[in-house]
Amino acid sequence: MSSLIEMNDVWYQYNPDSPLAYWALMGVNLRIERGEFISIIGPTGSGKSTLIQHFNGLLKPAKGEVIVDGVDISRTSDLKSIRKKVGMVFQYPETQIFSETIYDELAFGLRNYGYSEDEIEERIESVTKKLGIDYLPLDKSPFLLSGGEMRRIAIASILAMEPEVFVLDEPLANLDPQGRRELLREIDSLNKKESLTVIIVSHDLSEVSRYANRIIVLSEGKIIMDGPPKEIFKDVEKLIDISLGVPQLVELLYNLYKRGADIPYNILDMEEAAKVIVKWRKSLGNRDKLRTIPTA
Amino acid sequence: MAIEISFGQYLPLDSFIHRLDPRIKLIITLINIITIFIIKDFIGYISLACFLLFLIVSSKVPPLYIFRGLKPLIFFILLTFFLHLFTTQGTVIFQWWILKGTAEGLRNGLLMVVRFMLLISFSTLLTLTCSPLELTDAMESLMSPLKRIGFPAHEMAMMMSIALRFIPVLVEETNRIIKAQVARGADIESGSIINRAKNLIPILVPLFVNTFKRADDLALAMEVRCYRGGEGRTRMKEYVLSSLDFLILSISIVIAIISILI
Amino acid sequence: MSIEVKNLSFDYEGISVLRDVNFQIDRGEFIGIAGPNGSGKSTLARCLNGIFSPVKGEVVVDGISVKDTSKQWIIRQTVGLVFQNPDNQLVASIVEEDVAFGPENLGIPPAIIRERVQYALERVGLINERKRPVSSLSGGQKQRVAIAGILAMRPEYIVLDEPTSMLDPVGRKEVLSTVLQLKEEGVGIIYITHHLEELVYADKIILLYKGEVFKEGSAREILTDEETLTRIGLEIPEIPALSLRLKGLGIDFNETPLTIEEMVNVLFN
Repeated sequence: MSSLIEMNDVWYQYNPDSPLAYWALMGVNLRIERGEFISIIGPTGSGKSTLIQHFNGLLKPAKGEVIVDGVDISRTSDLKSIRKKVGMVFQYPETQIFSETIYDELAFGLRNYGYSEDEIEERIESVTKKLGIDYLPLDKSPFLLSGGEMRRIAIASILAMEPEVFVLDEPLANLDPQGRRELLREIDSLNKKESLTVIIVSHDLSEVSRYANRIIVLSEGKIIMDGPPKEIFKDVEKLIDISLGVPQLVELLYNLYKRGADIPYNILDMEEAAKVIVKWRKSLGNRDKLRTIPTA
Repeated sequence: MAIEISFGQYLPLDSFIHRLDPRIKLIITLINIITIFIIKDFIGYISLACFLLFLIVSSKVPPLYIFRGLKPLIFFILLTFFLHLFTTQGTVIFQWWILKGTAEGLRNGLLMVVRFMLLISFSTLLTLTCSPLELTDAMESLMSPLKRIGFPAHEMAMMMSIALRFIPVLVEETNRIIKAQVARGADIESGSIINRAKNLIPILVPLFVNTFKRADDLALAMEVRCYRGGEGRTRMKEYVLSSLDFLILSISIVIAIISILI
Repeated sequence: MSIEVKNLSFDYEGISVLRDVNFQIDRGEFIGIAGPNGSGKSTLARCLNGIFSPVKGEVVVDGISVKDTSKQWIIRQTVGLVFQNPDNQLVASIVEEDVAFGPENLGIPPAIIRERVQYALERVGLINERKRPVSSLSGGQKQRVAIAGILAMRPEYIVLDEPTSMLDPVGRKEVLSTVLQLKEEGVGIIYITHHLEELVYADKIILLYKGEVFKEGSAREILTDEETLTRIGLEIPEIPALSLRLKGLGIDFNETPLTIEEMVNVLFN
């Protein structure tokens, strides 16, 4: 079977033929397989949002090709069915809510795709359970909910379309710690239990990297790193260089390493990090084991 | 699908046009607009167009920006042209189906097109060379004599200034909402007129809700910065008329008179 | 000179939002206020400069009660407020024009406004962007313009209500370092957030939960109290969390490290 999403040498330019023209993507190559949990990371303006809008044909490449589940988005006349396969949650999705009732909001996408009301009801029931919002009164206005609940409604409205890949742009922005933790866990369980392909876009490596099995780092319109978190964090210096938020734990371990501690620094697990530090401290009894600081 | 607007966007360049007193620029624009409506013949428009060209070149604004201001209105301009072409009585020069194009209609239509283009170009040039604040300061100052008869000159100016400030924000927001709804399978570009109007609801409702939220936030932000209306307010920018201002104003008046008389 | 909050209670549409809140902040102090969404943080911010008037209790700013409506403009000038959404609090389209908005409202002569705008933009490091349209700035820069707009009114205290929650990591750093520098210059800072790692340099942290002060103490006390933080839906920052793990594994600290720098220094000692 082919990859779920395939990008070959994709270029994209904003405001072409105008004084404000600039290239947002420059030669991106990418393959996304079914069941992956990917985090696309990059500083503001690196082209992350531009990249993901190619996944469902909201943008089409100026050069190169984007193939979603075997279909070239520049050639197909049926982008609508691609948009169903690629569920996309924009930043602050609660600001796209418009329906009079929560039910109608959740049904919006499904109705656009012509599902029967019976099936819509069934799907809404299942999706609200999955996202832990089945306690909400479906006949009430979504505008009376808290910000966190509204965000879940917006996310659920896309999940209800049962996409094959779920793309979320900064889904955690502006939530409090508990809200962030819960939402991430739910998305993670969708990936693990329902084997939904998940792509989360973020400018911060600290939160998502613990769940993702692959991190793609974007900088100035190009993919500069692509691999499992442990590999990505081996190059902490580069990540910090392009102004990405790095988990404090990794930054600390890296600082210890730079001062001469003989420890790995690509560790994301708190307990593991603590053990590594303790082990290193014990070995310090013998001064010789202290590495000399590498000079620049 | 995306909306582009260049009207209302200030282009901070360094030119003597930019340095002119905004009140003078506003008056010149008003004079030109009035002249546009008085002129009845093409020759007058040519002299006005030359003046426009002179202003654009001296302002260092790339002409492309002016054309971008015209772009969103092309449909409207064409519509007016054809309405004139087909509805004016006179000598028929061609007939298509039940529509009769007349020579008088063609002339009137072309006049309207030229009028519109000049009108929009002059106002776009004004907003490109005056910051919104300068512009509203100028309006407030020109309208201030009306305060005595109870006209809310300050409030009007403040509203204008805020509207201009939020144009880019709202354009961006509209584009984002359109994309979000299209991603949920919404079809906004096809179907009958009624369907298309119905399809605007998922875009307009969130836009209104979010705009009210913004307005609420902004009102609070203005309150904490001690805003309490125009009473007792001072201005950072002091406008002093220079001889250059009077020179350009005089030139503008002369050109207006010439354009009307020839 | 200080802001004193005494037995402050506030109701909103019949629902009690704040109950019996007490604290004090002096000029040049940095107080962090943290709590989950819905804990009353934003309401508290709006009570500090009299936008909301206390239902019960008092807020006194440098000796003036916020209930005294004849002094409301003095109070608003003394206690500046910066909000979460950088886009929704800038009034003018050009950076320096926005910064001038406050002083203009205060009726200050033009020459002095220009001095103040210069001063404020220098403080937040945006003097070179003074002529730029705000729509072309990054989120962090917009938020610094908002801070400059408050600074230009020469406040004694600045209340920041989740100023970084809509910013990227670069923007967060920019805003936080600007705030820390203002504190050094003697401005009282009330910093509201749910990103606790931003409060490691606070002189005092107050935890709000369901409208009440749940706990208050030094940054070291609060940020290492994992149980309390988790209980009210907040998250212990990574470095204090690691410190606790290390303690559990037998490493002794005189003072539990809160920052990367502290931790590195302690471990190499």
